[in-house]
Amino acid sequence: MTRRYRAACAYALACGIFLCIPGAYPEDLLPPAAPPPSTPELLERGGLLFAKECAACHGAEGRGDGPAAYLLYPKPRNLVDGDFRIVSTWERLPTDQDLFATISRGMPGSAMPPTPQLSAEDRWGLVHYVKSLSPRAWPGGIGASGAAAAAGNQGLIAVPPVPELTQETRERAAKLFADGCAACHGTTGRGDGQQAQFDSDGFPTRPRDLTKGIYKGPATHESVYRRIVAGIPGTPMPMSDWASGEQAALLAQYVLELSSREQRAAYEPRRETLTAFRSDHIPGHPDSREWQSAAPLSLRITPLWWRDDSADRVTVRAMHDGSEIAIQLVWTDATNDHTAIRAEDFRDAAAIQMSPNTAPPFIGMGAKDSPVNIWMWKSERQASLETAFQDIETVYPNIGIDSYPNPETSPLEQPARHALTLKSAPVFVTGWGARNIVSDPTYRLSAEDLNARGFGTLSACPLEHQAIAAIGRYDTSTYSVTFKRSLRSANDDQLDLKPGATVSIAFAVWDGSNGDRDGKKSVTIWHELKIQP
Amino acid sequence: MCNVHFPAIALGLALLFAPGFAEAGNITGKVTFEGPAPEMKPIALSADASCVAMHTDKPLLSEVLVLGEGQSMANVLVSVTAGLPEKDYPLPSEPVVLTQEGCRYAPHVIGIRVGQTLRVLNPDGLLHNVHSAPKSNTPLNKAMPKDLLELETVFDKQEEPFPFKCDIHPWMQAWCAVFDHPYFSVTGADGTFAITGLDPGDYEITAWHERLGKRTATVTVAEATDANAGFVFSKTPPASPK
Ligand code: HEC
Ligand code: HEC
Ligand SMILES: [Cu+2]
Repeated sequence: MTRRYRAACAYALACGIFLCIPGAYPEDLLPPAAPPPSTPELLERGGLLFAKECAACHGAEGRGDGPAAYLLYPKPRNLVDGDFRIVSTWERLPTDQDLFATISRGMPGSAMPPTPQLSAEDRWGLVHYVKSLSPRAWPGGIGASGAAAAAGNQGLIAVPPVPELTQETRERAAKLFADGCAACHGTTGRGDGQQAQFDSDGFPTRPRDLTKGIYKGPATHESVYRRIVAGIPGTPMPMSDWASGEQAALLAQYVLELSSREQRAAYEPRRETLTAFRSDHIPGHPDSREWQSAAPLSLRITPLWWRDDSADRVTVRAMHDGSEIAIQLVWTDATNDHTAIRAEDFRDAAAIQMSPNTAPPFIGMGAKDSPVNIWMWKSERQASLETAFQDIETVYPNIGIDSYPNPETSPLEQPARHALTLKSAPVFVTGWGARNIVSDPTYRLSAEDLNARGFGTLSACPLEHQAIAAIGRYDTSTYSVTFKRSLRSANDDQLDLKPGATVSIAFAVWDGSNGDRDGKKSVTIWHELKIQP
Repeated sequence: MCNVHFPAIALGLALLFAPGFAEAGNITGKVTFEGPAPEMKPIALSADASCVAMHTDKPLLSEVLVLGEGQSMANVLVSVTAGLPEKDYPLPSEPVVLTQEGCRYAPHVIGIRVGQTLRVLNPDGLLHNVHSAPKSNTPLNKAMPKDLLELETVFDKQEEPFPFKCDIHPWMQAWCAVFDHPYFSVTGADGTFAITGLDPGDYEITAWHERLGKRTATVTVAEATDANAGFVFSKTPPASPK
């Protein structure tokens, strides 16, 4: 176990996601004053990591056109154009520290993931590599020298001390907000001012609901101050340099107070540990009483196609009895009770992805030298997909086809629109998936055991190896799905889970109930599963 | 010290009395629209009640096509696009002014020189954000709250027309082109333009409209005269010259 990894675990233990003191970021997420200089070795390391961890979204050359890009909204940045959002200089360019923070904590409010699995040095390698992708001139030495604000409105934006919000200063801040921000963010900061706005590529965006606590840049006073003064290039969020100095310092504090530390922390997933508790009896059903004895772990799930109101947490539990393991996923979906054809159709699904590696491969689909095993549950309508598909096509001629989860191409890479019959998984277009369906209308049994070693390599385990039992249940806006499999497996296409072992684990959920089309899946980052001895 | 001053004075004198300077000519003309004119619709200003209040007497019409008497066309940018000698033209000290009045940009189309100051005014007493979307120059997006009455900016590269907009009032739009020479003019309500102070010679001039595209013409300018050039736009683009 590397040091950094231990530190991450210690952090996860010491401060479960809701107990964290945001503002006090774990030190290896926010950069030190003096980053390591770019050396050929570091740059090369950055390049290798980029191919592994970033290219699926950002493209091999960083042009924002990776195979998963079409699934994402907001779109992955074109790093060659270098049109960066999170900037801290008057020239509206990111410093090395800005890039380090973005790569470390991801960009909440988008699919850009955090990278707690990487050491600080690896992340610096990525910073230097990302800079090398764009031919633009970088602020000379600003990032590298780490601070000293240049004179005048040049270089790093200097930040005044954090002001105290008293009755009087809060009123002043509220007035400044009303005059300078409310036209977009709304008088209460809920993002309900002028809403129909567009980013520089013509994609719709809207003023942030500041009461939600979603911050694409670090949610510290210093960083929010710079967001206000420099604006967010490429979006309607303007430079409010009129406020620079004391006024923007007040505004930053005022804006941070519109959300709670807990809310903000909840949007910044960290690597967590799920313990599979050992017990004599393990549950086989979402409603089994045994689940009560397993401590739940609440994980952040991020919709690839962002919506402010999509389910944002999945609660997981795990138990084993020495021979079988049961894993439960519970997530809420308040919008389920819409029109039947949308609410009940095949789009509901959940998947668990595991890697035997504690330094797991890319979350999307594993890698050649590092396979992943995917257990997937789908709601029962999938079985009669062909009929259902036709109904839906009639009702919604332009329905996003990636709503039909295709495990053959990983949760991150789903078939393009209108590619249904060719690109959707055979389990959905043949009766193959019908095998496990029970006729009880509330209890469903349907799961697949799948394997991948990189893009396009995913395949179902042979029928005789398919041994996952899964039962899903939907009740009062909540889905619960229980997966069950024997721990050990002698088949080399399946994960062998030994008591006492630790593996990497991630979850994906397809929220079928929403009336919207594209990218209805939400994913977690890699966490770990510890199987009690 | 002396040896710095002396050559400078000598150069000045030499320029003043330099022989052989032909007297400059001008290009003037009118731009008109041909065919049935589409009706411009009133803009729904409902996004901002303050803007609605500023236009209670007369609705604010879309400025995508502004026609005057006899279908004369305003807001067409006419500029010399070929035939100019390569040289540094003196920069006007006056800024170009773009104002945001009544939740509307005026003028609707501006030409400006590389390095010349653009002064943006905000007499409206409310928040606008001045958001330009150039391709070569650095994009600008600055908030102008009610107390910020003006801001200034400059462009450092020549560029074809690009939009200015306000994200708070999505109908607000202006166009700006940046030139490395002074030979451009925007038509007024009467459709006329005047490009002045050209050395005699053959030039290509281009008329640009935000929706109807470009038309070009070649013009010969003789000493101390006005060469005339007219442009006619219609909804159908002209046949390509090939
Ligand atoms: C799952 C897809 C995905 C992966 C994997 C991913 N990104 Fe991103 N990335 C995005 C998206 C989407 C955005 C744009 C977010 C936004 O605009 O809100 C983004 C934005 C960025 C930005 C722009 C930051 C800014 O200030 O504008 C950088 C830099 C970046 N990513 C680097 C990386 C690096 C380095 C990796 C690999 C460690 C990576 N990304 C992996 C999706 C991804
Ligand atoms: C012209 C509209 C507009 C104005 C005026 C405006 N904003 Fe924003 N703001 C936006 C938009 C749009 C976003 C979301 C950008 C995106 O991520 O696409 C945003 C995002 C933000 C964020 C989120 C930063 C992050 O890290 O994600 C903060 C904080 C914020 N604005 C504060 C302010 C404050 C304070 C003011 C007034 C001084 C202000 N804004 C004025 C449009 C505006
Ligand atoms: Cu405006």
